[in-house]
Amino acid sequence: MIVQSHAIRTATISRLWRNRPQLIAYYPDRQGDKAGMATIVGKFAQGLAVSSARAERVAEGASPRAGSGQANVAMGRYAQGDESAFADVYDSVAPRVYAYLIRQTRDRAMADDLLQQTLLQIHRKRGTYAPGLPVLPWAFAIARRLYIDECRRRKTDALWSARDVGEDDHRAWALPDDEVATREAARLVEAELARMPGNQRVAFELLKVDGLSHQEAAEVLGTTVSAVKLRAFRAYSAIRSVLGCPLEPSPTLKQRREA
Amino acid sequence: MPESKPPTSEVSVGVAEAQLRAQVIALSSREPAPTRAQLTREHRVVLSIVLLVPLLVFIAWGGIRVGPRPERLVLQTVLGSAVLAACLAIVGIGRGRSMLGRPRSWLLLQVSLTPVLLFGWRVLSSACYPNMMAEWVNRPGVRCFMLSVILALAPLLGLLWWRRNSDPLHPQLTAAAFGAAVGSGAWVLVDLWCPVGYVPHLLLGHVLPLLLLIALSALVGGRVVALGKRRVPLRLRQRPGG
Repeated sequence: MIVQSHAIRTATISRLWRNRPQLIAYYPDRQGDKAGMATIVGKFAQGLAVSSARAERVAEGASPRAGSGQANVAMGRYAQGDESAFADVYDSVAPRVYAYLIRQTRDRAMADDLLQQTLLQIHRKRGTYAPGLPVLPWAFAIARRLYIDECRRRKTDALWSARDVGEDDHRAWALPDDEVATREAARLVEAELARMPGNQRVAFELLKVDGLSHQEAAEVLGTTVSAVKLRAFRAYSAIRSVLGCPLEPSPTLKQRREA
Repeated sequence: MPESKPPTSEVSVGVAEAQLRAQVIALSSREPAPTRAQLTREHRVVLSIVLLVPLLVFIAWGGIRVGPRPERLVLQTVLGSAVLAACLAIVGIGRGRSMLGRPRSWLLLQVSLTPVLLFGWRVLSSACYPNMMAEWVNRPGVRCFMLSVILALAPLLGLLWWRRNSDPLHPQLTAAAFGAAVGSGAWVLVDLWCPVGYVPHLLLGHVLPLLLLIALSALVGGRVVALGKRRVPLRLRQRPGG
């Protein structure tokens, strides 16, 4: 997984870096800021590898909650009237919300649309933001609500869920044996996630994929921390059983010696 | 062969995301949004108006009427219900340390406990004094009903306006909690005005309007408080290569 992640990251960053004039045109506020551009390109690489986002995080060893404090500070500045802070709010919130939306919608165009709506809602309500309050659960809750409304509006859930993430994410990497095994495990997990009740799947994804805390996930879902823990536990149990490691007490040292 | 296979390369996806970012930032700069300071000023003005209106209505309606009640009973009833109403309003209206407001369980508890606690306190207070729960033939509770609704109307509208288009989680419950909070405030004023402690009168003239406010607020206000569906078309976005 780490090897694959490294390969993806290296390839995408180098290709993005070659095309940076195109990117700079879309980031007028970052021109001349080499470090800032490097960060943006790095973020792109992360955002692009949507299907391997989990591998990215494992490979980098980075805490997924690292960006939440930055988002709160940026949002505080934006609420006070610093117009330039919206770019920072976008950069700290959008990648995670976008990954969430991609997973939910399985449609890049719809995810783009919902991300735009989410950020614009945050922009419209900036005056209601009290400094220090967590921005990410708010953004996730808005995105979730907009997604639910969109599904209701379209009334074609079957069509939308049947569509895949899109050709964009299909990559033709040479697959060594361990990667085949990893992909097979990922396929099993994805199938199990698709099978399990929606509330368990969403709780699992918010905690393990989006890196929210139990408290934050509870806020997003409008429920209690205990309920989130219970849903996530059920999701873990289901995934463990499908991967062939059921929830049994780990063997004691004596049992292991005997074995 | 990463270069040959994918029909849409990672670069084009990255550029599309950059386009989206540029578009969102451009749209946000085109659509003015009030800052925190501007909104706070606006809220202070609205809050003053919506608090002043019920007070003026209350004075016009006759103000405080002790009637046959001992002054101690009036004080006891009103102080108790005022403390309860304040606590219930803090839970129902405040957001706590979250942009998403109180948890569902808190709001449910607040909405369900408001009528029970206020009614219980009024009955308990009146029961401690002789003849304070006697029937008043000419006071079935219609005027108390009307007064409760009229007093609560302006603050409720103000609250719904204040939190319009903002709740992505449970807008109906939030609006119901507003109804309960505002209704409990109106209850305190009606307690000052109404000397009747007869239980059927209390149920019709005091509890029923509170329940009505909660229900109406949940039904109508839920739509106001719910996160809006105002859509912004993807005007600038055009997928590269697409």
